[in-house]
Amino acid sequence: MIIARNLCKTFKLTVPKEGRFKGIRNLFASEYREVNAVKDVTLSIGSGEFVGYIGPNGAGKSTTIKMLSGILHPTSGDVLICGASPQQNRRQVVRQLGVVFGQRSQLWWDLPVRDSYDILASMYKLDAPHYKEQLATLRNVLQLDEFIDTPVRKLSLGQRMRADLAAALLHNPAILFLDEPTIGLDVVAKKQIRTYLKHLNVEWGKTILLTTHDMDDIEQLCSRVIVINRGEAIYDGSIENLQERIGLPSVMKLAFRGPVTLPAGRTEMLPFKVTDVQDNVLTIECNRNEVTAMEVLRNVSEWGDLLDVHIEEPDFEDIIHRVY
Amino acid sequence: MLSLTVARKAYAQNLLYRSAHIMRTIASIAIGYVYACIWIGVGDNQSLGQYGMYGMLSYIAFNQACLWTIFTTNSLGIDGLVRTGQISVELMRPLPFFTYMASKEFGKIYYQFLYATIPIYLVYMLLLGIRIPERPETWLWTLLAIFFGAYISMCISYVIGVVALWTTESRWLGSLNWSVSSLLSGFFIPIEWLPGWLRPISMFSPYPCLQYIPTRLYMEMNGPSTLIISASWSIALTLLSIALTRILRRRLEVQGG
Amino acid sequence: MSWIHLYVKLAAASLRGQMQYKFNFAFSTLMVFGIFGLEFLMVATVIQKFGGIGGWNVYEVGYLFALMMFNRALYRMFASEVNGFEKYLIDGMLDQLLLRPVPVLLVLMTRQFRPMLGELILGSLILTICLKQLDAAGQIDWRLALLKTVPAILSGSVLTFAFGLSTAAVGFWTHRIDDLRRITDDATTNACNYPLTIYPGWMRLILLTVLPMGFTSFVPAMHIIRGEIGLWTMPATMLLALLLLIGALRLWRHGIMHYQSTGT
Repeated sequence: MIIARNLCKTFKLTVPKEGRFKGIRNLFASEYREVNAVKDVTLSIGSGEFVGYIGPNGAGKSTTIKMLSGILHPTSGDVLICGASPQQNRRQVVRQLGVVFGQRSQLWWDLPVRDSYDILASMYKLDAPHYKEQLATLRNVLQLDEFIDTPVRKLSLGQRMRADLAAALLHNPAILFLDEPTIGLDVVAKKQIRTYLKHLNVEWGKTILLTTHDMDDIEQLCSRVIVINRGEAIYDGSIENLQERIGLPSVMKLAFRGPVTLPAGRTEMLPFKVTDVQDNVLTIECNRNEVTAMEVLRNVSEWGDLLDVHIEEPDFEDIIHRVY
Repeated sequence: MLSLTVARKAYAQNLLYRSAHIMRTIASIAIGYVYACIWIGVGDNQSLGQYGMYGMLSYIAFNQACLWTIFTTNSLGIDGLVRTGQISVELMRPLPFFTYMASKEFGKIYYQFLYATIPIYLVYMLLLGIRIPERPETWLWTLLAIFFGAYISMCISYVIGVVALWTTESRWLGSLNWSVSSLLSGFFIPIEWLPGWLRPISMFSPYPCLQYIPTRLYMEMNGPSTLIISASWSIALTLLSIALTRILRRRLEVQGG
Repeated sequence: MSWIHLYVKLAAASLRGQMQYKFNFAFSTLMVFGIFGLEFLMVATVIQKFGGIGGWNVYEVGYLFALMMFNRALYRMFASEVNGFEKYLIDGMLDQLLLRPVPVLLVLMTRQFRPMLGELILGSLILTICLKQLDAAGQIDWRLALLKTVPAILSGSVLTFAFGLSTAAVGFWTHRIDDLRRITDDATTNACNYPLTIYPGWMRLILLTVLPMGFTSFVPAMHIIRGEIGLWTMPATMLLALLLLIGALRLWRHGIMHYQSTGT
């Protein structure tokens, strides 16, 4: 569905001049600094996949999406969407795409939501029965009825996002690019949007590429995740694998009856690391791919009378921190 | 002095957009030149009263240059402050709201005076050879009149900004003010040539202080006694502004900020 | 054509949107009378008082004014977003336009439709008065003049549009255009409200070559109401307008390519 080969994007930034008459000299600025926003990204996404595309701010996520959707031309490398290049056949390819930018609405600000859909329908040349049917489905799935006759500017952020999603789906594209669709939403609205996205992927078979900063989005929705940092794709695979590869430690807190003393000299040999000792509480870190909890307990029980055990699994947020 | 700091900050902020500013200045020179050409065209077959064609050219050119000292921010941005709720923060500043807004605006006006009025004036002086005062003290009177004009224009914008709180839109009051001003301030037509019914309206409004009075002083056609009119209007508008600020404060307190 | 259909749909939708701010809508219409009407009155007063300008009487200047009013109205009516293109470049709204299966320019033009009622009414008013007066003076036949005015406005609007589009396209390289527009639009339109004969030769030359806005009002008026140049100037002006339009479209397309290959 989506194939990108060796995508590179270099931006030229003008370097503002300092010193005297900088105002005038900046008018004729000719100094540039090159910034590689995306470096040699290769990816292939199959039909029906739900892929998370994550990375810190300025890592090149939006630039990649813009190249995939034909807004920008790559400096080198090429893109194929359903077998066609969005750069060469922009108008044809964008029919296959639904794009939502969370930060910006594509709807007409002062018009009722429905009017925006009417306009989009004529823009995509949808014929009346198709449009009617699709709109009816979308109204049902995304529960648009409560605000379809309200001007966009009066919608809440969550409602606006639903309205925007519907706008992106009106022409029934096979592929959805979602750039931070849950940004700024409250917990309830986020949950709602996730439910819809899941539905679109599972029931309707849409291929979805999602960028987000919310790791819960990724954990709950994506079967696959691509991590980009400083323009380079540094990971592409399942979330579980990512977790494993990073080998983020689980943290165990062990409470003993009475103070605990570590046997001298032997701690380096253990398959886990003792990070803290406080009276009768011992904190250790271990990689669960290398050692089971039972093994840890067996080792530790030799040091005193165990009272309580608490295990904290690494959460996704930490994994990502580790990757960046 | 606090209000001086505020003014300096506003001045520095305006310095950032130089290239945009250069374009604006060029456009302003061109537009002023068009107005001057209209008078030259009119003066082809007529002597232009006490001004003469050359005098009218100087009159228009000087007005166009001074225009930048009375270009204030529309309602001084008060409408924006109200919309965003920023106004309650601004009202709590350690100096009076009116003084604060005035200082900010004067930073901008001072910037425009240095980087628009003076260059435009110099260009016209060199290219059109406009009239230059013969008596040195004229410069002083002119600068004073320009200062009063800028101050009065600022007060009017402030009043509009505050009054607009009671209406839904202040933008239209601002543009109405602007187009009325260009007619009544004598920007294009010297006030004595306005049609009979308009002349008294203009005379009893503060608008002539913005352009007519400074320019007539500059051209040495009026004595410094006309500055009394400018000064009186400045005082009157200051009092009005302060009174309105008080009402504004009360109104915002009632609304709960 | 489905694109025209699309445009009509959008115009209707946009009008409905504006009607939500009825007061604003009514007022902006009235404001046109305030601003342009006052300006014209101001100048007309002077011209009347001193008996003409550069050999043109007040009704002839009024005709120029009316032509410019119509040009402005038609240009802003259909392409108000071309005029306000800077915000698209700065906020990145342009990206969204590139996601539609329609030429970017068309989506841009459909973003807003403004009826420009104030300009149209004021223009018609001044045009009617001036043509009637010139007819009464025996200078023209108002029916024939009106007939010729229609294509003159058409080519004038195309020219104005080409101008606006070129200025907007420059924004793909410079990102800021509102200030450039002050020269290409504000200053030139202001100058073309009056007969070019009042300007020195170099300025007239600029307005007929580098920034040929002179063809939107002065040149047609020279034929239609003054009869100083031949009828052939009308198709010639139209041809020029078309050529400039093609040039502007080229520049625009080139600009989009530039934007796409450099980004922001």
